[in-house]
Amino acid sequence: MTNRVQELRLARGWTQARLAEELDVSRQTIYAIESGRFDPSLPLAFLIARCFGLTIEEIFTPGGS
Amino acid sequence: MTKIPNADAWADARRMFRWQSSLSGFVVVALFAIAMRQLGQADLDPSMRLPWLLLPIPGLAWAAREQVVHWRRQDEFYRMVNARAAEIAWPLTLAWIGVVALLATAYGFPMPIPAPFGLPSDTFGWMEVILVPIFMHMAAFLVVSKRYTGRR
Repeated sequence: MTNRVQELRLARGWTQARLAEELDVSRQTIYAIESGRFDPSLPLAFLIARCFGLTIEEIFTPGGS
Repeated sequence: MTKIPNADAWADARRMFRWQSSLSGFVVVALFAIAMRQLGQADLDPSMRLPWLLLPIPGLAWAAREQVVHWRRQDEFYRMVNARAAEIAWPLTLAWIGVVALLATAYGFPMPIPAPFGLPSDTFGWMEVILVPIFMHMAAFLVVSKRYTGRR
């Protein structure tokens, strides 16, 4: 699964730590999601989508590593 | 990939740190050390065996509770890393128990360790049997964690 989390975060000028705080997860979680090594659970994907004011489909795309 | 600032790394450590967890670890090790020392006395009064055996129990209960709290505070990523690490560490732990059982059958327990270079000889006992799997789990966690968070 590929995602636009890093792009959306940087567009807001947020650090990984800031986004982690917003989502109440560790910064490593954000790092692992952005690097495509970890796919978030559905509840966390919804939280991310709500945080950026988008839908899950607009952030996460099936396929890729 | 961007370099992780030290401040972020410290923030991560602070997020998971609980002084109660650290203190419970020290307390349980201290209580075990005291109990094992007393139980190992050749002239131990038999009526004192049970009290010394029971001494580490409160510490163990506290440490176990702190471990549960620690697990519950982890986010889903670290739960996944722990699960992956367990997939590696548990088979190794079972293999370790098998190796120790074989060695203990062959050489007795605790096992004498021959000391080279005139160093004092030592024995391979319960502490070593317990510590090795703990280090295995820690090493597996570090390896898996690095695989998911290391830079590409």
